[in-house]
Parts: sequence; C-alpha cells; structure tokens
Amino acid sequence: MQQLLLLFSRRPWMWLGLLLAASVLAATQVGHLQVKVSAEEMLVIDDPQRQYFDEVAKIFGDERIVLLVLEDDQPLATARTEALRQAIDRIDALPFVARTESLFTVPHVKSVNGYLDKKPYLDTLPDNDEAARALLQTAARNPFLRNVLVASDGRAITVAIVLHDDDRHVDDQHLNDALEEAIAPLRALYQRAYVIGFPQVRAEISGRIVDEQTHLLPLGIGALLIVLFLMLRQLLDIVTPLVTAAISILWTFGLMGWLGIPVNVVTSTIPILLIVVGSTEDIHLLTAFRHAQRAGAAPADALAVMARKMGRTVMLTFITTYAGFLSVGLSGIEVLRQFGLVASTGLLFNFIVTIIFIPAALAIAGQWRLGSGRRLIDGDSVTWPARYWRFLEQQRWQVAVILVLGAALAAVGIPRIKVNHNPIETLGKNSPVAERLDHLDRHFAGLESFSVVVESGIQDTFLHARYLDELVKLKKHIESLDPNLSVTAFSDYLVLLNNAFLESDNAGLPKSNDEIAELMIFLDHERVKGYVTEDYSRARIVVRHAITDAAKLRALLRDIRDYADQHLDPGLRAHVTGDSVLSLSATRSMIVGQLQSVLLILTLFVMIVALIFTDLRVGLLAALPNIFPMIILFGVMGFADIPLNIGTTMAAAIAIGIAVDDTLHFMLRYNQELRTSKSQALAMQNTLREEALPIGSTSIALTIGFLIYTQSGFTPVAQFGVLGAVLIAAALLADLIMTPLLISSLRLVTVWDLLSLRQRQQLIPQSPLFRGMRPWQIRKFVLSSTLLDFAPGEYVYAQGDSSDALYLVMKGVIEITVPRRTPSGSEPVVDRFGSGQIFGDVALLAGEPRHTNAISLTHSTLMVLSREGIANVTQFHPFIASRLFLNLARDVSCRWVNFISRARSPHGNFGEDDEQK
Amino acid sequence: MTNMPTSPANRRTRPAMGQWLPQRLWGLALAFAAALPAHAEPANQQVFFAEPISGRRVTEYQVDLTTMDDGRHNFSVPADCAAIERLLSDGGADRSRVVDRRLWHKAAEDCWFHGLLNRHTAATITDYVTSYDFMNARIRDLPIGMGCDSAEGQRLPCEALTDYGHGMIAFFPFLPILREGAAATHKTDGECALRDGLFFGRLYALPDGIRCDAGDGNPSLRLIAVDFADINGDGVLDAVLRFVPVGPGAARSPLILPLTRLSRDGPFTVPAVVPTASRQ
Repeated sequence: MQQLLLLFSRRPWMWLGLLLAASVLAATQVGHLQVKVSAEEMLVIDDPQRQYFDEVAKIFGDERIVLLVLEDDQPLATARTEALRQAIDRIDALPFVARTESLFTVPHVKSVNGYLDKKPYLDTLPDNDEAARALLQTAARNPFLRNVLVASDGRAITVAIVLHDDDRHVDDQHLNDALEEAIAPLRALYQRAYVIGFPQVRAEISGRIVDEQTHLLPLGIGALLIVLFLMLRQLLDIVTPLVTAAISILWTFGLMGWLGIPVNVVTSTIPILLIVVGSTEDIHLLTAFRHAQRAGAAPADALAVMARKMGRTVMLTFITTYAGFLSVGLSGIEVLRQFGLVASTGLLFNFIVTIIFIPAALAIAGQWRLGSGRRLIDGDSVTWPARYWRFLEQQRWQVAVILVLGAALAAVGIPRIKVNHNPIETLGKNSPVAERLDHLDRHFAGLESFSVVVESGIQDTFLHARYLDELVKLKKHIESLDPNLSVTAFSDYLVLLNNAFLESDNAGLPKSNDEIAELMIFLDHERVKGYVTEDYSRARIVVRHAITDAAKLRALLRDIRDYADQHLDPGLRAHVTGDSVLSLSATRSMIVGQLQSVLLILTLFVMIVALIFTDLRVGLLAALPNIFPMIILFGVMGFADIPLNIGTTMAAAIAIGIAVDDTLHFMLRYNQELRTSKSQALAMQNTLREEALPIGSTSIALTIGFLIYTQSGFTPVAQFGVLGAVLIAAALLADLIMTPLLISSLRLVTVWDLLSLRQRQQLIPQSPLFRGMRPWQIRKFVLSSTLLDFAPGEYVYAQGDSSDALYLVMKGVIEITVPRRTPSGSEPVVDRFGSGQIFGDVALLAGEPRHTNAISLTHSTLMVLSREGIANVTQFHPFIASRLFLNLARDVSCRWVNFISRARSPHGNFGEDDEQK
Repeated sequence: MTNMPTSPANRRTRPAMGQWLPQRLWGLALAFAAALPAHAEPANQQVFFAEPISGRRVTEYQVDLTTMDDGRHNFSVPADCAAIERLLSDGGADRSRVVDRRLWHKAAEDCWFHGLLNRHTAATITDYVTSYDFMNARIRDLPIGMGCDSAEGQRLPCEALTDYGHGMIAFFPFLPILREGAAATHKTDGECALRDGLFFGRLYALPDGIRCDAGDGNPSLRLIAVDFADINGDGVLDAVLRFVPVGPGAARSPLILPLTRLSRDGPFTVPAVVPTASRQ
C-alpha cells in the first residue's frame, strides 16, 4: 500500500486523467439508472416459504388491486351514487384497469319467487337515505364485503380496482394521475375520496427518493464542508473528500445503471454514506501529510511519511469498513443484499479513488497551504494529551465504573427491542399515503393478509359436509383470536347461497352432501377460485388484518398452526402462508442477518488485530471498545422504541464497520509510537496527539452525516441515521476513553517489532541456533523471548547463578571468564561471543548453576530464550524441537572442538583445568 | 261455455300473470275465469328452469357436461335432451365428480320434466285448473291427506307411500308435521293458504279442520312454478306445482305436486295415472 501511494504521486496528471476517463465512462451509464420500489424486494430471497406462497398464488390467483375509498355519513346518497357510477365508468375505461369490484358489480345473491337473483347490490340506486342505509346494512352482512367494500359502521365504502396483470410496466405515477383525474369530481361530494394501493405507495416512495436526493445530498455535503473547514482549514483538504466522494458516487451510479440495479429506499442512502464514510480515509491521509509538512518536510517527503505511516492503516480500515458494508449484503433480504453489494462496491470505488487522487493531488498542489487559522482541535498542542492521559490514568477505575454502569443500563433496554418489517411503515407518519393507509385500516380490514390453506389431496373433499365443517371450525377459531380480523372462506359462499335459496338470513351451511351438491349447480367457480381449487381438494381461508407488531402476528400464526395440528381432521393438512408469513420470515432473516453481520465484523477485526500484534488476547481486548457502542445502540433502540426494521438492521453492521477503523488507527499508531519511544506514557500521549484530530474529526463528520438521515421522510432511514450517529458517538467516546485505558495495560509492541530490519532479515536467520529453520519457526522462538540491553562491564550472569536461559547476542560483545585470579590478577577469559552467536546453553542443558561469569564488553543487546519459553515451543512443535536441539548439539560440539584446539595450542590463554560451563 | 284457447304465454305461472294485471283486476279476472270451463291447446309446452350458475328462471339454458371421452361439452336444455338422455343411458356421461354428477342430474331432471309436460299434446283438452290461483291456494283445496292416512286411521310416513321419483309427491308436503289436537291452544292465522306462492308455518289438524301457525322459524314452502299440461293423456288439463322448502334447517330439494280436477269446482286430486318417464 505504501508503494502504491507513492506510485500514484509520481505521475499525478496521468492518474488524474485516468480517473477522469473512468468517470466519463461511468457518467454515460448514469442515464440508465432507475428509481424502482417493490414489495417483493423486502422479502427473503430463496425463502422456502416463498416457493409455497408462489404456488398458492398461482393456484388461487393473485390480483393487483387499488382501492378507491369513499367516506361520508351517507356514502350512497343519490347524488353521490350517481357520481360514483360515472367515476367507475371512467375508471373502467382506463387501459390498465381490468375491472372494478364494487356494490355496482358484486352480486347480491337472493331468492326472488324461488329463483336466484344475482343482480348487484346497486343494480337499482336507492331513492332515499333510508333505503341507502338499509342497502349498506345488507351488504355489510356479506362476509366478503364487510370491512372490504363496506365499512362495518356504514360510513365508508370502497371500490376495488383490479389492474391488468400484463400492465406491470405501467408507470405508477401515470397510473396514479389517471385514477386521481377519474375520481376528481367525487372529492366535492364525499368527505374523503382517495385512491390507495401499492402503486400509490411506490409512487410516493419513488418521488420522495428523488426529492430527498436533492435535499439531503446538499445537506450532507454542507455538513461535511463545515466539519472539514473547522478541522482542517486547508482548501485542498476540504475539497478532496468531496471530490473523491463525488467520483465514487458517479462510478457507483454508473455501475448500478449498467447492471440495472434500481435506486430504492435503501440504496438511495448510498450517496450520503459514501460522502461521509468515504471522507474518513481522506481525512486520515491528509492529516498525516499535513503533520509531516508542519514538522518541516517538503511535499515529497511528507507524501512519503504519509504513505509509510498511513498506508497499512488505511488498507486495514478499508477492509473492516468494506466488511461492514458487505456483511449487509449477506442478508437474505433482497433489498439489503442489493444495498450491501452496491454500497460495498461504492466504498471500494471510494478507496481506489482516494488512494489515487490524494497522492496525485498532493503531489501537484500539496505545497499550497492556506492560512494558519486555528483548527477546532489543534493536534500539534503538546500539553493536552499529557494532561488528558494523566487524568485518565488517575481516574481509570471511576471511568471504568461509569462505562460499565452505562453499558449495563443500555443492556436492560435490549430485550425491549421490537421488530417491524412492514413496508408501509417506511413512509413515516407525515406521509399522505401513510395517512390514507391509516384511515383505511381504521374503517376496513387492513391491506395485510395471510392464508390458511387446508388440503386433503383428494378431489371433492370440500364438497363434503364433514370437511366443510372442519373448515368452518378452523375459521371460527381464527375469528376468535382477534375480533378485528376479516376471515373469509369458501364455506361463506355456500352459506350466502344457502341463505338465498332458503330465504333466510341464518340458514347457515348446508348439512348434507346432497344439499351442498345442489348448491354447487348455482355456484360459479370463477367467483370462488380464490378460496377453493377447481377439484375442491384444497381450500383456503383468507385473513385480512392490520397487525404491524411482528411478535403479535407471530403468536397469532403459531396459535393457528397449533390449533390446526391438534384439532383438524387427520385427513386434512393446514399450511399458513401469505404476505404476512413472508414478512415474518424476513423479520427472522433480519435478526439473524444483524447478528451475523456484527459477529463477522468483530471476528474480522479481532483477527486483524491479533495478527498484527501476534496475540489473540490483544484482538479480544480491542473488540471491547467496539462492543460497548453496540450495547449502547441496542439499548437506545429498546428504550427509544426504535424497532429493528429494514433501515435499522443495517445500522449496527455499517456503523461498527466504520467505528472499528478508529480503534485500528489508534492501536496501530500506538504500536508505532511504542517502537520509537519505548515508554508507554509517552507513546500514549503521542498517539493521542496524532490521532485525536483525525479520529475526532472523522467521528464528528460521521455523526453529523448520520444525523442528516434523520431529515429523511422514510422512517427506517431516519432511524438508521439516529442509530448510526449514536453508535459513532459512543464509539468515539470508547476510542478516546476505553481504548487508551485498555491498550495501556497490554504489551502491544512485540520483540519482533523491536528488532531492526537487518536483525530480522540477516542476523537471526544466520544464527547457529536457528540454522535450517523456516521463518515462522524462528518467529515462534523470537516471540517467546525477551530483549535485554547491557552496558559495558555489566554482568549478564555470574558464577553460581541459576541457569534458566540461553542468550543470542544481537549487538555488542560478551566475554566469558572463569572467576579465578590469574597471576596477573585478572580472570581467565574462556570465550568471547559477538553478534549472532549463542552462549549460556551448556549450563542450561546440563541443568547446573553457572560456573562462569558473562560480562558485556560493549553496549550489548541480548535476546534471552528462557528454559520455559523453549519448553513451551518444543512441547507443541516436535519438529522445531528436534531442529533446535540438533543446532544446539552442533554448536556445543563445535565450541568443544574449538576449546580442545585452543587448549592444545601453546599460546592458549586460559588455565589447564578450566572449562567453560 | 266458451273454450278459451290459451297461448303458451298465458299458461305461465301465476306470479308472471300477477305482474301483468293490477292487483284489483286480478280478483275479477279470477272470478270470471272460474265461472268458465276452458279448453286449452298445450302443444309446445314452455317450461321454466333454474339456469345453472346464475339460478335465473329461463326456458332454456346452456350447460357444460363432462363425458367419458374426457371432454366437456356444451348442451342446450331442452333442445339437446335426447342427446343427454342417450349419453346417460349409454354410459357416456362422466359423473365421477360431485359437481359433474349433479349437473348431469339436473339436466336429466329438467329434460324429464320437460318431457312430462310435453308428453301428450292433444289438440284440444278440457281445462278445469288454470282458473285456480295456485299462488294463493288454500291448503284445504290441496290433497293434504291423500296417501298418508291408512285405511285403519294409522298415520304412515308419507314418503313411504308417495315415491314416484323425480321429487314427485302426491300430497301437500307439510303433511308429516300434522299434529292432531296437539295445537288446540296455538294461535292460528285463519285459513291456511299460500300467500304469493309462499306457505309459511306449521299445520295442525284440529277437529274443526286444518289450522296453521305462522310463527318465526317455522319451515316454509315456496311455490316456484305452476305448469299446465295433460300429463297423463286423459284429455283433461293438469296443473303441475313445483315447490321448494325454504327457511332455516330446510333442505333444498324440489317437490313436484301434479294436480287435476275433473269438474269446475271439484277437489284437486293427484292425476290417476302418474307418468313414469325414463330416468338415468
């Protein structure tokens, strides 16, 4: 990454030109971008229940319906009814309308002189209010009309407008406009007259998506500009994040246009996310560059410093953020999958643009520095980090208690979290369409529905009184569960027909198979195909409801399933399916997806940190500052009654993916500082000074960026904004309080880190101790060792010391002497060891105390391999052990041979009875 | 007396006639008609049916019937009655499914009824029945006890005595619920009669005659059609009444009551020879 950043700074114009060319190419595809909203995309892809739902929809039919709702004290007053008929005629004439169902068309099945009369309820218009009221009451007794076409209180009626199945491509707005025009005269006659259905919902959502892009996007840009201005005060630094975000948004939209991925409620959030999230890496890179500049480096040198200091960090933080976005794409819900894939790709684009544009732009214009105005946070101030760190250290227990109490309090709210996966809730409370839907729910059965399909696999089953009784039994049980449900079944048609034939309001269901068969002569299957198959082996009970509480709905469905399992005739099987069931399935998928995403990111983060610091414990400890804001987030959701929905389910994954970046930045910087300062306090102060500005400014920018979403009219998006802001703010607190406290208690700098490059690449591999070992085997030993520095004349060990380590000379010279005075008064020198050589192994292996002294002749650095460390490594790695002991045996043998040679030499300078042990 | 030839149109059921004439004139017309013996020409007797699916009253209807060649064929009743009866007798009708079986049954019954009314098409027959207002018939004018009381005075189930098939009966169908003396204290509504084709209430056989109780929830009968034809070929016009039970708990099964009388003011009786048309 370091090399890449430098590469892009060498031929800046060429790279900028390439960016421009790619942007032009992307711009050509933006025109293909579509705004599209559909209810299906809120469901789980490849849901096994979806397959059954589709099968049921195919068998029983699935019509696209829009409702014309009319409310008045007397909806069927003469003048109104006449106008309504004319409006329906106009609606029927519209090309996308297949037919309308209303009191003008629905047959009022009755008997006249012993023959059936199926003329519509409004075949003859009532000529006075009393007749109109009576007609409404009669219609309301029909279970298929009650709360569907006629409100129970008789104050509202609806007209069901059935749309052509092959007109799915008809533009929602066009459809909406045409219907609104058709019903315009009714507005003056009724207290309320409106058209409502999914085309209206989609039209409003699509319109608002476009509208919000034009409102929220400038807001996002403005907020970011303000933050950047306050924090950075450099024109180039302020403009750069916006340029990189703009380019990446262009590329992302170009890709979406090219692939035909539409903009919907969730993907519409991507531009602002890219502006806000994408800016964080820009800020870190630019801050590093300006730090170096202020330290006196020329632009080229500052670029090199930036690349060296931030290259790896930027790469790693990109990976965690990318994982956060991508993890949303692992969701089973189509709209979330689209979002995850598109947003993560957008983030990748942003990363590419950032690492190309920033070095190139800084290479060209890095020397232009504007003003010296004070920034909101002055990173160069020397005193505040020291004071802050001192305060933290002094108050660490109080701070810890406060944090733990805060987390515990938040955790109490977690069980209160509700789930809501109602697409209509997306619209928010101020939406006219939502208000209409609310009005509709108050007067009629809701738009939501599910079906209970009962089947036997045997034809004509539901022409038998016995099985029809079973159907009625189940239907009555469902009705008993909630009085607000509208429950209809095939049996209701038979009851209607039987009532008509027997000229009674309560004749009920025919009692015998013969009577049922007699009625069947007069029943048009076309009218009941939504309730029973043509072979009468399968029937369904349709339940319309307005239940939005997922838990309540789940309990209702569970009750129905249990009842069917326990009470239904063994020859019948019941399955519950429908929009509501699929929504519940999506709800489960959201919860599972939420947990998966968060766990995935945390695991990735722990692994990255553990790899960098070669210690899993460090990774686990580093996760704590990121678990804390998540607990806060879920607690806020519980206490603030923010449900888990299509928007909020993304918040935790995305925000945590972003939040871990700051922890990584902090830890990596601390690691760097430790290696140079070797004092934890100083390293922490330097880290705070270096990272407080970028972490603070990016967090503030992100918090403000998320808060911009609260201006969205879409409730889940607004809630996503609130939660994102809460999480980022909590993460900032955790990063500036918890992270310093936690990592100060860890040894974040390893022996491996302390070794110089030359020592790691040349000296150690060539040492006789590690001869023939692979790099990772050597690393195993090195990481279990410690480094010790010795001044000239300082003893490494003395005679009589216990032998519990061997030594590898990294730097300097060590002399081994026998503690016995020679005639000259000095101690006989047995041996001398320089860089790369080992000593102290003989006594260690013999298990005896030291027989000699080891004295440092110069400033020396020794790598100390303890008996325990060697035992640990060799215990679990027998191949390493065999190699190690072979190396030690060879080394001792060589030294023994050497010792003998020197002993035989007439100029041997040590005693005849000395031996080194 | 002048024989009054009646066209098929004016041999239709009384409710239809009731629509043509103002209510007050209707009584006068009845009185006038009752005074006159009539002669009729019942050729091409038009019969009304309940059309499948719609349930409307029609003189002919189309029906899709399944046949053993695994097809669904459209038939017109009564025009295709011969083909329908042939398929039924040859085993060509597929009646394996309930609805198909019932449709075949209905088509066959309607054909049978059409055949019943058009069986004897003598040029001129004596008419003592069309002058009677069956839609408002008095119960005592109907053969209420016929076939149900044995010679020993023991009451027998009427069903056992009157199964002519095709829902044809030989007694007023509410006879089985007669309770002799049991309802002396019951409120009675004067003379028991059909009102505009609807009989509503229970019958009680009291010492002074038949009484009825029109309480709510009592079973009822709806006279859905009155057809006139010489069904037994005796040269005397017969009336064929078609009832359906109505009211809660009733079972919709058509009841056909053929009636005749041999003099202008004579009692109505079931024709001596009840035709036994072919049946599937």
